[in-house]
Amino acid sequence: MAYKYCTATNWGKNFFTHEERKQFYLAGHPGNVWIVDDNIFGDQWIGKVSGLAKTKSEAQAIVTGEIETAQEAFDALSEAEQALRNRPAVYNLP
Amino acid sequence: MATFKVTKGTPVAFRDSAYPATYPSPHEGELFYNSSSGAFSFLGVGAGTWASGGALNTAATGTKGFGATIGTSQVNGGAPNLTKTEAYNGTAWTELNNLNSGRYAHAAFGIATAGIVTGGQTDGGTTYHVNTESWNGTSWTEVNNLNEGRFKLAGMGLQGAGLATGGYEGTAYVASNESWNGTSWTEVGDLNDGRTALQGSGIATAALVAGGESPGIVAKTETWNGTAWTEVNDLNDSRYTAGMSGNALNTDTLLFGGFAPGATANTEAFDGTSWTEVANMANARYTATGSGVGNGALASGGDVNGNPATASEEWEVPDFQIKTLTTS
Repeated sequence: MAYKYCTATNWGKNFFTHEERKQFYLAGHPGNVWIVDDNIFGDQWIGKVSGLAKTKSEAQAIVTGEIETAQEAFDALSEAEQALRNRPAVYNLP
Repeated sequence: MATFKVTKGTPVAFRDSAYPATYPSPHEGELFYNSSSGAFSFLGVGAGTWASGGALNTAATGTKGFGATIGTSQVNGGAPNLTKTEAYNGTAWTELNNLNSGRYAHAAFGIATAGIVTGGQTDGGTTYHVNTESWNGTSWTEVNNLNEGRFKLAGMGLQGAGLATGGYEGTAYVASNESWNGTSWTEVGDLNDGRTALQGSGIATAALVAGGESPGIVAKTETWNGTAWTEVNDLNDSRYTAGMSGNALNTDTLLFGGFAPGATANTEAFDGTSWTEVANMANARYTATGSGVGNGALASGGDVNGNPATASEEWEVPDFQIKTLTTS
């Protein structure tokens, strides 16, 4: 499956709708990175949310950077506070 | 003389628009030709999806909440000891009167005008609450305490009758189950498997808990008949700190997100017998607050890759959906 990558800020209600979720794959990642199907529906959604197109490697770098920042923040927490959460782990985008 | 249609086929309705996709429909399961779109279509049972909802005012993890519908839901508390309460009207969140005692990973159950919170933790992990508060639609009032302090427990029911089940009390995974009668807590039948970070839905006489940690991540599901817990079919994917449509019946409920390990967007629906994987959330998250019912649920906030989130997602299952037939 081919995907497109972009960054866009989730403004809340109607950022993505039920109808859009039926039409194409959509997944959000750290750093306001969004992945959609590479088809007309995905293109229309990127246009709707004024998404800024990224290559997969650019999107991966944003996600990895965000997670590494979150890891540093986690490591700076007290032991008791760390017990409340899980240390985020870097992962590869599809 | 018989026509070709009578001897060889089933007539297909010819329409200038789609069948209405609302319940009830005498046309459920029918194929039809829509002359306005020039396509054959099918009126089938609706499939649920997640759409974006309004953003919480305060990003928090470890919040809890309740609400019979998406547009009458609330979230409260949050790590490390938040007292905030927010209500959702289906579009936006509004801040309401605070809890008296800050807490996170507590239990919450009820409806917009009448709810209960109990248990949870504060102070960076040293205090396990027994404290219980009652919501009257405007403000919180302290009421009688739980018998056993704990956090990451499940809460199910309504203000006049509910359950507080499982959790962690500092040294052990809890199997204890307490029943709330509107005034006080009474210990009743224990879970078969003590665990923490489990999720629950239902009412005081017919409830369900699923997932959790004991100490590994589990997929176990148990149902409550008002007297005892019975193990039933497991989740397809083990996880803890998921969200659940907490006001759902234990025969039609939804579990979403969680830590599996790593945050997941995976969603499963329970039909009273078994779990089925359905459409994922857009954002993987754990410790999200769940409310609503099986065909209309809300996932609010939670932890998205190490950061408390404000984003919410709304689950909706339409009565029916029109599927257009295509060739490839």
